[in-house]
Amino acid sequence: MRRRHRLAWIGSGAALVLAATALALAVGGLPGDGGEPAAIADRPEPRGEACVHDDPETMRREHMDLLRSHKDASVREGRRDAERSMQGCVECHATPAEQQAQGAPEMAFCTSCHEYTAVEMGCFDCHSSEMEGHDER
Amino acid sequence: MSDRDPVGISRRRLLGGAAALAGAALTPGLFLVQARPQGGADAGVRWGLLVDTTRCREECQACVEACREENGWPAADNGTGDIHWIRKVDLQDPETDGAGHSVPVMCQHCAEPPCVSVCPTRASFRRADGIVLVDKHRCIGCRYCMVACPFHARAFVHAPVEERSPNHPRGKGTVESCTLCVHRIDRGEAPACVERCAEAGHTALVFGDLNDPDSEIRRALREHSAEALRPDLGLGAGVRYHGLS
Repeated sequence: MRRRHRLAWIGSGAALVLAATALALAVGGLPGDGGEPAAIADRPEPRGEACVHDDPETMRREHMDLLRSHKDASVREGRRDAERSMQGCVECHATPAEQQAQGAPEMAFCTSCHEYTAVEMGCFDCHSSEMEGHDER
Repeated sequence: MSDRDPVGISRRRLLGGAAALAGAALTPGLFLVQARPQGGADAGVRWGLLVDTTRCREECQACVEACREENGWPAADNGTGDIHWIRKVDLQDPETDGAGHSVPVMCQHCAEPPCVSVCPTRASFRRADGIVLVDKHRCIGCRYCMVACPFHARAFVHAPVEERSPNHPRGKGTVESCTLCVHRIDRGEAPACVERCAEAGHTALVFGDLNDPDSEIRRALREHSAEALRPDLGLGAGVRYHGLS
């Protein structure tokens, strides 16, 4: 008798979890079903047709590793590549002047996501985010 | 055996691949050439500077100003600490009343740099072409290198950087020093101080490859005697001074 009671409790608990999951999916949608987070949808459109590095999904996942390996190549070994440099990123991804005039941050392309994911981004504490310049690091 | 081998690989291809691998293993230089499509620092080059102290004017600060403009470091009097990638030092023998020297002092780009020896994170390093640099992504700001450097060539960034130079990223909490304008050298140009000194009409600075017997700096070194600062330390400085002794 006691055992049957316990089973009933477990069953109703499982049903509750299932119902909650179904509700969450109905409201939020499945992850990766095409609805992008607001942070990605709202960022400024980059210049050019495609990133010189890789496709957007790969860049979203691996840009920090690519930047680090490019830094090692250019700073430590002197193998420079202007297109793939930090300045290269800025060239395409800096917020256009007219949007900056409306109050958008100068690297909104980066900051929109970094704020959404709460990942601190220190790149432009040291690196220049000016479009002009000859930095190849 | 034909290329239509059922296993999908012919003996010829297999042997060819094995031979290529063996060749590469025997000649590691082969990989070096392949792995550096954009060139990179040339290990056959040794960049150096010759300072002709007989041509350097005491009142002239052209090299210091050029460096500051090029690399974006602040003047010493604005509360950001004593940043000095290059500074003018006036020397006079205390035992004689003779005319002294005024010389620019910057990182001497040693062949055996003490700053690299003491760096606990390998942030201080010597590039293949002899330029001594700080990898600021690795620098933890311990300042051992500043203590180790006999030339007082390095400086620490104490305050957040407000004006960021596109030529040289600078950040609070890291050590920095003369890079010999590595970004210009990689573009095939001379350092900013050398260019400005020539524009000012003094041409007290000569830049070039110390390994190349036909370079301007080697020709100048053949004509003038020149020595390193503190030659007793045996650091093999890349910066030489003519007319000090």
